[in-house]
Amino acid sequence: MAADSTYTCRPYQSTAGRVHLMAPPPRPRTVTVDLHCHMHVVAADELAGPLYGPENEDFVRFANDRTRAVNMKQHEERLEELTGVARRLQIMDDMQVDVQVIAPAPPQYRYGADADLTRQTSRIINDAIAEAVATHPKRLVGLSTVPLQDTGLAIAELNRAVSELGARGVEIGTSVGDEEISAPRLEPFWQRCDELGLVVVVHPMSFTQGQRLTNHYFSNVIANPLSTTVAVHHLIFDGVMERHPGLKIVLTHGGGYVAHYPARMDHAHGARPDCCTVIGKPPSSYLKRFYFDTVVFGTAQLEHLHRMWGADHLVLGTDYPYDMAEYDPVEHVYQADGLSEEEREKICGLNALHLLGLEAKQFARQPAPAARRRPAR
Amino acid sequence: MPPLTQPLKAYVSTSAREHLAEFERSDAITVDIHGHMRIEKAIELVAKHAKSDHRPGVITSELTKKVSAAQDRDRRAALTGVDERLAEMDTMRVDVMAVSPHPPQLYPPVEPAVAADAAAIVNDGIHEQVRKHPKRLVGLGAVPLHDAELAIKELDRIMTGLNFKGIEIAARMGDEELSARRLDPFWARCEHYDIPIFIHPTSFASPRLAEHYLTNVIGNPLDTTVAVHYLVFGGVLERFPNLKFVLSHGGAFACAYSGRMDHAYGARADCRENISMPPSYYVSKLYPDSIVFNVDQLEYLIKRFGPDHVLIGTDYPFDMGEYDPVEQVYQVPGLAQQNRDLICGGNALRLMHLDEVDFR
Repeated sequence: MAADSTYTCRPYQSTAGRVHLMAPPPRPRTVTVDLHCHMHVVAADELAGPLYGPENEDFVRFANDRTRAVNMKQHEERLEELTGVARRLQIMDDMQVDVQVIAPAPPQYRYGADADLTRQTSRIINDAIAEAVATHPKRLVGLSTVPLQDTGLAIAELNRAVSELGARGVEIGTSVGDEEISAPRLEPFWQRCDELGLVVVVHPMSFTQGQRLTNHYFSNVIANPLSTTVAVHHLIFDGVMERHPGLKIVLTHGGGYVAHYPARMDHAHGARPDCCTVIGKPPSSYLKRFYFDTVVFGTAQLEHLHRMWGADHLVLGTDYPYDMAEYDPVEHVYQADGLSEEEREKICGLNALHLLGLEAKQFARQPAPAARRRPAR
Repeated sequence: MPPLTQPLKAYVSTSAREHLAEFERSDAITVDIHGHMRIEKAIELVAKHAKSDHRPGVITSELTKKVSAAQDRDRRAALTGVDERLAEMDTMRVDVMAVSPHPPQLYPPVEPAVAADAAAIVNDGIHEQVRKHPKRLVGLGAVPLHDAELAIKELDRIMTGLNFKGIEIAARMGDEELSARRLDPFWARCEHYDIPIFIHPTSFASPRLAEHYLTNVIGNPLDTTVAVHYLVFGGVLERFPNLKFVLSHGGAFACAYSGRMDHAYGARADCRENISMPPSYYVSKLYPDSIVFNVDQLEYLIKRFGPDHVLIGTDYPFDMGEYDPVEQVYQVPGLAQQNRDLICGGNALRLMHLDEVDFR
């Protein structure tokens, strides 16, 4: 262990990724919306746990003992925050988040399980999210999960979640095992998302070939932005974005590596015949169509995202309630240089509402907290 | 193939950005820190003893194999010789090139003793060509990291006997990472020489990168990114704070996206086992090259690392290279001339303990 570190390890609080504002942080007049947050549904694990356990998942396989221990502790410590509503609303108040758009918990996607089992767990999760949303419709909105390993079942559950449960979109992983989400068999799924005008949040959960990433939690620190990157390259180079220009795809963690390092794709496309077998336009012209959340921790990166993709394509996120989450998402937007107040309002919530097809007036803007709940670091 | 909006171009100006019609460069010496030379004599020795492909698990499509084979044919003279190299350097406005080994020759899949012999052949080969053009070329050498003592021996030989100015290493050692403790004596020796250690990737093993040349488009920056994470979190920069790592392709994802590292350090007990400072403290010690193809990214690197920490590179003579490295620096808005001169050559000269007068 290295000699005294400069920071104590403090999860679930202000990030060590930047210096924080000392004064009570500002917030927009308009509604703030978190488009990257999760709910874990215990009932789904109760059904599927014995049949398809977490040992199948990359984030468990590619983790050393220390990492597994930290992850298990996190799950216990955050169970209330993950599963419930009351504590969630309190933390949202702390974060100055008026509305959460609740996505499933990635460890519960279960794309590797028997498709019918995942159909059942997806139902349980989607029902539970809808039930939670119904308790506080002025503060919560629901997304859904689907058994992506089977196109027909995925579309059926998507239809049900949207028409019967009021889900405004779906969250999917960055691959189905080693199969890309750009695979031809998923074309009807993208078609359906396009038809319904749904928000599709693409969220990673480690990486399929994570053998080198078992130390220092690289199975999340590297693997997550990496998985997003690989998925985005396939969505672009395999032509999904070309064929469906209206798709509303939200990428987490600021779009991963590719959103911060996009020109290499363009160079390759312009220089190599094996890089332009499907698409005629430069890859970054498709990358522009995605939406990027703000979970990048550092202000320079957020400013860079804004310069490259524009305020209309950024959406506030947190990754609530995990330890790799942003607990001062509104403050972060106000710390970025070069944004007008109108742009901050868009990033903090209006873009998300627009994507979800919702009106600000259906939601309750919370009063500012009396004082900072946590000391700034 | 679909109709392209512009024709394919390899080995010339990148299509990833607009270019200047003309620009006037200063007369400060320009130095390319990232150019390669292959020494074919070493290939036979390695082939005889190789235990596997030099990068097992890296899978490419048949089309990629064809395109890469064509590149090999097109660029063989440029990669192995000097005449074409010097002519293209003139076109690129590069006065001096730091010539480093072709990456597959950095960590051949052979026993340490054979690797040491192969490294010596590669270094002798580079030296033989470089010394004929002392005002245009300098050498960065290979070292057999398979064994720290053998690596130190070859390092001593090239630094004291062959006038090399630094080394190039692969971003990993087969299945081992650069943070392996057995390398500690080698790092200490590098600190002693205070040389630039140029890190170059050799892709990443995943079947999901087989199409669209993703083994290079993603795989190469990924390999570098994993290396940087291990150098930081594995404590190499903690134990050897004066090491000077130069990173290919703009420092890859690690330099573009470092906030997550600091967050992890502050939130996770498993992310702070070997370091006393936040990761960005160590990341700030790195020297990314400029090969990012667009101006915006280069501007970001200069802002993040400082104009004294970015170095122009080309990746000569490959198709994923930057053929207007000086122009790209001149395209960064608001950059003072003295900082352009640093990025275009001053930083590289300083790292290699050379002076402009050595090249006039």
